[in-house]
Amino acid sequence: MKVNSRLKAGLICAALAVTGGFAHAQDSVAPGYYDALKGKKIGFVPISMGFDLTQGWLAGMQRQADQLGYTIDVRDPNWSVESGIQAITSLIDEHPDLLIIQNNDNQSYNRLVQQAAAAGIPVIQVQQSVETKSDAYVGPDWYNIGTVTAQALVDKCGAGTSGKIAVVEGATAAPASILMKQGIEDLVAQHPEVKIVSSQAADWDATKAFSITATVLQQNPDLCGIAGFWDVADTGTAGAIREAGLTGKVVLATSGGGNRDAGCAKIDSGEFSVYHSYNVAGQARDLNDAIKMLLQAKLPAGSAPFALLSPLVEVTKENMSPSSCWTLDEIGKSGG
Amino acid sequence: MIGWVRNRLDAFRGRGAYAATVPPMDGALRPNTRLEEAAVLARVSSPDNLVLHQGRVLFSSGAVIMALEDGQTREWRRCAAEVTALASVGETLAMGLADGSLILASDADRLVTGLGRCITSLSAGEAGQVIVCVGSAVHCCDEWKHDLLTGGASGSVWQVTLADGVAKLLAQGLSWPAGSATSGGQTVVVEAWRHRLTPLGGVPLVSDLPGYPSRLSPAADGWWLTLFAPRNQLIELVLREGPYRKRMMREIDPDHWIAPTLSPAVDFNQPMQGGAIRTHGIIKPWAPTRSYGLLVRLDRKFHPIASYHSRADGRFHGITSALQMGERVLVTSRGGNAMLSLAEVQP
Amino acid sequence: MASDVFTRWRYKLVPDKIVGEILSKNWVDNAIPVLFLLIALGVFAALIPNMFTTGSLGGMTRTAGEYLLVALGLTIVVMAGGIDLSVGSVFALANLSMLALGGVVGLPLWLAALAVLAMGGVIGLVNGVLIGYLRLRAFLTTLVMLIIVRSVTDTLLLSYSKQMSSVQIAGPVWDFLAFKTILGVAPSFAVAMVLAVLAHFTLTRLRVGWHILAVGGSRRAAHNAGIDVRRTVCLTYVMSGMLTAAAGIFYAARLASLGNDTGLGLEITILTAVVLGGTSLGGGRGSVFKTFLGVVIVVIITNSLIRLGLRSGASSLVLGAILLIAVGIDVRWLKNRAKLLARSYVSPTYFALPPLQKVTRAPTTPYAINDLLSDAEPIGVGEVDGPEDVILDEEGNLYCGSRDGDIIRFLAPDHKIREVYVHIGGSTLGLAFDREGSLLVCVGGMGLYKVTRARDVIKLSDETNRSWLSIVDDSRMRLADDLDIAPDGRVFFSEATIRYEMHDWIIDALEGRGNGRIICYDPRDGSSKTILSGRQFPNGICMVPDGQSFLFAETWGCRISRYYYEGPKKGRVEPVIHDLPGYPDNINLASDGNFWCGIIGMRAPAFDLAQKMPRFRRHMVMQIARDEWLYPNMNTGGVIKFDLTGKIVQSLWDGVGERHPQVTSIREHRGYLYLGGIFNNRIGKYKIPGADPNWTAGQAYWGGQSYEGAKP
Repeated sequence: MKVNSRLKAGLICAALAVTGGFAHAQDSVAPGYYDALKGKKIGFVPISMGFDLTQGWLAGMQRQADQLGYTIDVRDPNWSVESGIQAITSLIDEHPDLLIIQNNDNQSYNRLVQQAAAAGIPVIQVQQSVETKSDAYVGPDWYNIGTVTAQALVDKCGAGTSGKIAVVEGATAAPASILMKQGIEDLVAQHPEVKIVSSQAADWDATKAFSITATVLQQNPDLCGIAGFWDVADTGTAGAIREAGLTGKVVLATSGGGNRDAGCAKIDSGEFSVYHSYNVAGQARDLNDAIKMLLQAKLPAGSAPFALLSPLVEVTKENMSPSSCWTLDEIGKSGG
Repeated sequence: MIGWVRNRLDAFRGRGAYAATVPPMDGALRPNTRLEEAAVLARVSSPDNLVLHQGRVLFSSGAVIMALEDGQTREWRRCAAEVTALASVGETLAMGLADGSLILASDADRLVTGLGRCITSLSAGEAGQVIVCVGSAVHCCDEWKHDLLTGGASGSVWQVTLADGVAKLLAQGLSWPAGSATSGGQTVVVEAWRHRLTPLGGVPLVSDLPGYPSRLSPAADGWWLTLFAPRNQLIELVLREGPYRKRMMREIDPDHWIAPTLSPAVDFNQPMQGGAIRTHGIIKPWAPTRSYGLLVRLDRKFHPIASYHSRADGRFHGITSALQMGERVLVTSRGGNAMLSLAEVQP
Repeated sequence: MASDVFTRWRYKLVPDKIVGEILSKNWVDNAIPVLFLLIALGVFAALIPNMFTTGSLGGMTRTAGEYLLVALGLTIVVMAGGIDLSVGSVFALANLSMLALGGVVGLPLWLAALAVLAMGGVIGLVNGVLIGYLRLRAFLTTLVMLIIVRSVTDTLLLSYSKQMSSVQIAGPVWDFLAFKTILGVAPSFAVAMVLAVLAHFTLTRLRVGWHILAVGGSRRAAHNAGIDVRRTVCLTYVMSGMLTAAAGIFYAARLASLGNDTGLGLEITILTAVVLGGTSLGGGRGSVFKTFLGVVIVVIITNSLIRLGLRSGASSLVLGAILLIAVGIDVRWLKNRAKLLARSYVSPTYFALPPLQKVTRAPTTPYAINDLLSDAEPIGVGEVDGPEDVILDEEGNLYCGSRDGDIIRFLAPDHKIREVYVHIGGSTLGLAFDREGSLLVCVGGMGLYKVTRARDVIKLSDETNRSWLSIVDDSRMRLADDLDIAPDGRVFFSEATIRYEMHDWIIDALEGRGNGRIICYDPRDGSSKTILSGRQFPNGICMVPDGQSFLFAETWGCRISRYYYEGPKKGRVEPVIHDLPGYPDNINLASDGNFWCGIIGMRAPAFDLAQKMPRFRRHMVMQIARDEWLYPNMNTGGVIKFDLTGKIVQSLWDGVGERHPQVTSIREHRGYLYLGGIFNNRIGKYKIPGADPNWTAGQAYWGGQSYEGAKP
């Protein structure tokens, strides 16, 4: 069964890959393609609309929606789980054709995903996934990001350094944060020369990241590296390092959506040492693909879960190019 | 637009210019019972205008002019009609009658006509002149309630020269001029319905009195002002309530109107206000009332400095005239049918 | 007149009085939140399709239940004059503790829940001790508590979240709390509603609730009244803490959220709900129902704003604006309600009396004025206050009512010795002796009472049937006025008005509406029933000796009518006199078979005209002071004697009005007429020339079966 559904998803993927390039596919090429999408309604409940990731996804999704004639109904809980629950509950009542949700933690939306499936609404979970797997997951492999981030630090903080690294986590209950931390801890465990001296949650907040980092640097003046969990928050981490006069001396490895200002610019200025981008523009494309697949396949909700994991791109000063990062404008014009 | 809306709103809620308020009796006008406790010199029916003519105290009562001598009253002269005003100017006694004639009596009577039927007050003007107040061009003297309730403003003030009896119009369009006084070349006129004293051609000296003022007479160092009726919130309301006022005037006997009166209510057909219910056998002195006794002493600049009251529960209401006689002041209470004598007049 | 016809219909068809009656209700305070709720419902239902499907409402009750629990606690605190800002943090800590104790620690759910409740209580206790006993400022104290508890929560979250997110609480009870519904609503909502009812009961019916309200109303007064203010204040915070913890438990069950934004800004949301409901931030005023309304409004608004897809921050902005408006309205309303009520309660309507017959001293009418009553011999001058009714027993003792709730007795034979026969309270108005010699009394504001010969006071009736469409509670008796007893023992008594209390009775005259009624009390089954309503100040009642009917006077209607309670004409009302020149009061039997009627005042043409012009009276009431209002002239009164055909046999007046300006009551006894007056300080005794010197009312009523035989 599982193989079967995976296969199906794969086939759809392949079909899309073929057809997607043509602006006006003939009916003979993709029978029912336009009809399957036209006039549909998609509900989108992000954590908040106020930051680069969600803005980027929406810009990409909106572009396709406009082209293919379906609508995206955005409900913005503004970082409140409570509001998010209300938004999703009410959306389920309104019965959209598809639901895209981004959760805060791995618990709160659990039951809602089940409810949506029961109501026959396909659900795409973006960026983070709750325990209940839904029709599609679009987002990074967080454990992997944790591993590569840790690897970058291990590489630079080996022999000849203090070997001390600090971890500036996201929100303690967020699956992304938990998995990344797991990845980091697992990798560091294999390298006895490196040890984690601090691991605190900055709640995806630059201000908190700043104060945590500042404290850690005071306590450990010989700190070698810091593992950041998100570029936006690590603006604060980098700020604390700069304030301590340690820019370039303390390795800061982090990850993020690849926004030009949040990511590449910081690499360019040397504030970030290593940066792994899961490329929001690509994620937007993945989301669009998932939308098209699910709306065409019309499978019973939850019957064939699949994932579109975001490929990671390592960006350093050396390999950085203008296309390494994106801006919202670009996604709005040509992304997704 | 906003002004209009505010105006309508005020009219509806009875605020602003439409407020049925009455100025409080305060300051120099603080209530007392000095008038109520004054000595009664004589019981006379409707005594009105007091004058001192050639050393003799005269006052009008209906169509008769009475003389007060040694505490006794006697008929001095009987006229053809009700005497509405008196003034003594030198040798001459000026008499205003309800039939509209002004009689200038010295050695012989001289008749001046053409001043209308409502001579409310006479006073000595500049040498050889009489100032005549004509309350209304529409109503006669005993129709003063009609004039008040119809918002009368047709009164006039004249100056009559004793020598030739020629009348000269000084002012018109006044709201029931009921008294006047001349000093230092300036004539001050009392406008009853506007509760104020105004020099001819000038701005009001005193305004917003708590009653309807009438005659002015000289005091030792200033003036006496009589107020023949009090202002009353209910009456102020009726003055603003056109439909009710018109029907009341059309359908009801004037004695039973909601209007000021000269005498305390005795007739059970007269309207009664809530605060005036006789409780435990008495009416409260501060009860709302349509009649009142009030005599005010003014300084030379016509500002009130003392007052003498007969309150809601009192007898001597409807004060129309006062006459200073040395240390004493004679007062007529037209509503109380009494001639009073106030002894201590120094404030 | 054409305009009169128009005016009559205008006031007949438009019930102006409703405005004032509604404003006089306590529940009118809820009108604004209800209105707000309706507006919110209307607006959002129009903006959002499927807003109010059952599923949608069920979802909302999950949030509403938790909010309501927290809001109940905050309401109690606010009503006691305090404020609790720490609710948001306590909520978060309770959520975390519940997940930790139930999950990682593995306690049984009930034990975990109890522990969490206890924890909420302890935090509340700390608040309470600091604020209640140590007299710290509530605002600052709970603000600090907000920060401390929040920090503790964050620290715990950081340390244990990984552990906790790996252990899930499971079990049917937990799932039930989270996902199931009871009668279509979330369990949290059901529990909150039960607690709300309990809280309402506590606040309105139990001592502790009254204490809380008293403390909120005025700390000092409450202290002076002997209330332990400190303990009461402390208690409110404990309650708030526990209720908030309960809400946290439900939240934990619903979301199992380890997010660190749990309960963030909750205090503002809840405060908005509480104030929006109309509970005053100043304390002492509010109710659970108001809070319930507030919570419903806030939940609907927040939910709708999310659905409307407003972007980041806009929802908080809207909520903040609503709080501001709510506080503004609350303050203005509190300040102006009494004023508004005072102005709009009096509701004049059109009323035209028959033409006034001219009454003077000239003997042209049977009503001709004289001064006979001025000579009445005074009894008890200065010893009585408002003897509305007087009565004599067979021994000749004289009884009268009074304004201060006593029945005064003057002993026979000379009525010089005064004693308080019995104290009842209320204004004692109508009096009558029954067959056993007990004294039946109409008491203003209380109802019908009986005073036995042993001076025991027994309540006979204080309520009658409530009419369905009346806004004022007309089952309560406001102004029982006069009574008489039928031969079969039934008591017929008048209630002068259902719209005014005793001290305002005369204002009823300004309305010109039939606000009164006649009630029958049946001693056989103790029931009371309204038999005639819509009467204009029904006052005196007197049995006609035919055993089938009684006479009653309608004071403002200036008429006397006859009502048949038995016989072929049963239920009919016949006019006896319809155009009295004055206002009739009590009616009683005369020795010659005619009837005496007291005249409390005379008709004045100016007032009669005003009765035909309701707009004028309305303006009068709104614009000038109460003492200045135009009333019926009550300064001249007297007594008339009439027969059943309506013929006036005799009239007695106090034309001067100094001794008996109003006569409200008359009793003939052994050749004398005794006079009472509601504003008077005496009773008058007038010798009736030629009257039967042996006639007494007791004999006339109960004849041979006088109560003498039943004497104890």
